[in-house]
Amino acid sequence: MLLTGILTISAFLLIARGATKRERSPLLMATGILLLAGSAIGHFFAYSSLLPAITALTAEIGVGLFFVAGFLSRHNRPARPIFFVGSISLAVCVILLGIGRFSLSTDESHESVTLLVELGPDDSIDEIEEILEQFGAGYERAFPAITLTMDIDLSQVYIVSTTTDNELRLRRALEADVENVDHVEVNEPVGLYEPISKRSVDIDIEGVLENDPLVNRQWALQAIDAHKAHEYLKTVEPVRKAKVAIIDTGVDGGHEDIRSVFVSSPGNIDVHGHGSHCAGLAGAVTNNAIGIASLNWEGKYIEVTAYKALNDQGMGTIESIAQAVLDAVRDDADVISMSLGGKSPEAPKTIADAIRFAIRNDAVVVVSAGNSNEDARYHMPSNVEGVIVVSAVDQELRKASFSNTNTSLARPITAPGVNILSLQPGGRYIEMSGTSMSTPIVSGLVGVMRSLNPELNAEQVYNVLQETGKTLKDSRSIGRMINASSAIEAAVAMR
Amino acid sequence: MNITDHIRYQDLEGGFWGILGDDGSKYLPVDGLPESFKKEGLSVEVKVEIVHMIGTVMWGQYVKVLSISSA
Repeated sequence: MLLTGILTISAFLLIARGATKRERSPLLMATGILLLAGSAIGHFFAYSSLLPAITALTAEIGVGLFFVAGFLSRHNRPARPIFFVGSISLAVCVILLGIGRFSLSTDESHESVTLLVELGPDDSIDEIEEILEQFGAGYERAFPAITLTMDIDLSQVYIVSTTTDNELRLRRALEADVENVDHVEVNEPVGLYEPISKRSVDIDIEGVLENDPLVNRQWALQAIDAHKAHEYLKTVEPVRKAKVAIIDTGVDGGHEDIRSVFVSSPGNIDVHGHGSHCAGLAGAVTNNAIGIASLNWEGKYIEVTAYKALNDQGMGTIESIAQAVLDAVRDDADVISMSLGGKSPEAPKTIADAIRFAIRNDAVVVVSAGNSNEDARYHMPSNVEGVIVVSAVDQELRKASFSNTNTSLARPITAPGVNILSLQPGGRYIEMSGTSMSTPIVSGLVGVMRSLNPELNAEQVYNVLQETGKTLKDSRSIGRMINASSAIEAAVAMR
Repeated sequence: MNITDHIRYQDLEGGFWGILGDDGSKYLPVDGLPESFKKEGLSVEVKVEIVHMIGTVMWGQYVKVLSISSA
């Protein structure tokens, strides 16, 4: 194509050379148009986007027209119109350059990155300041509320800000400083997706106790013997309310079906919807003639609180998730419910440390097995020691096709996770599927157990779930399915 | 990393579009897919970069799509 263009232009110029003055003008104009078109095509191929290509083109046209104007002026020909057009072209170039610079600066802000740097127990940030200065990196303590006596690892974690250009070299430099730095990891962002509505599944509810109008769309209640559990819960009183912490996208704390048991927190708004869905499954007020039922009979057993680890755009960081876990521990959560995770042979150290801190502080941590139809040991944080790992079953009580298996891990359990109805922000209700749904069902049950018997520790809680659980056809790969009625009665019997 | 796989809609965790290989490998674009590629079964050639993330979807390997075209 290039060769054809050059030959065509050369032919035009040769013809023009031998042509009369009258014939030369259109030939030169055709040559000019061809050159302009060739230049435009070349620029659009040369630049990755339209803006810099047009900017370069307007600059070259402007300069070219200035040359032409100068040439005409030298030969006493009218040059002002050409000069005028050239000036406009250069002005357009300057404007586009300004827009481009603004866009670039916006892009650059997206290229900032943060590292989580854990120092040794007896080291201070001053000792790595030289490295940080070398790369122009800023820093702040990741978890200022955690002291060295509370947790030797988390108290020494710093958020170090840099740019993607410097990230690798800074990381290498920090990792090389083995005297002062114990661990470095990238504070990765997190991705989310918009919820959509699902089909409803009506079931026969003749004779059930609850007056919640949507209970006929909650097949999971029957599957886990929740109706029977409600009959029992009607006859007993909790020692105290258990606090279930939902670490997610926030929770719509004003939703009609959870408002009265929701403990206000910075996470009481949920633009995304995922966290509200989980919260409803854990603790929606039951037998209140509103919406759905959970195991929270008349709202007497569980209070729900939310920690927003993920932002409204569906992005978060390792640090924000770890911070949410620590905030839940600070607020004395009995159960921490984490319907989140990612593929990883081992959990990021900061999250693992935070979960271990929670377990040491008497919280029961319940996490999703994941939705990749693979072994949950390759999924974090389900592969953190001490957590209860929840897989999902469908209405046939078979392993949900998407559910990860969990029996390679220490504390596997399963619960319904397909077409599960729960809360949607704004007073609405929606069905969703995933191990994110089965997880808060288990968290709600653990909450009720601890409200009736607060002395139960994480190991005892899991043993009760396991021993009272129903053996299913797929239990070999996803563990037993919770039996709410039996588990609650067993918890009371252990008082 | 270059992969040649199919676009699939996954009806879980609220629903999302992922990239599924014949060998069962799963890739989840962290920034989603361009609208024109959200077509069930569409065969695509994708250049991706693996990213280690945590999210609510928990499906496959999170990736950043560097380029994508129909196969």
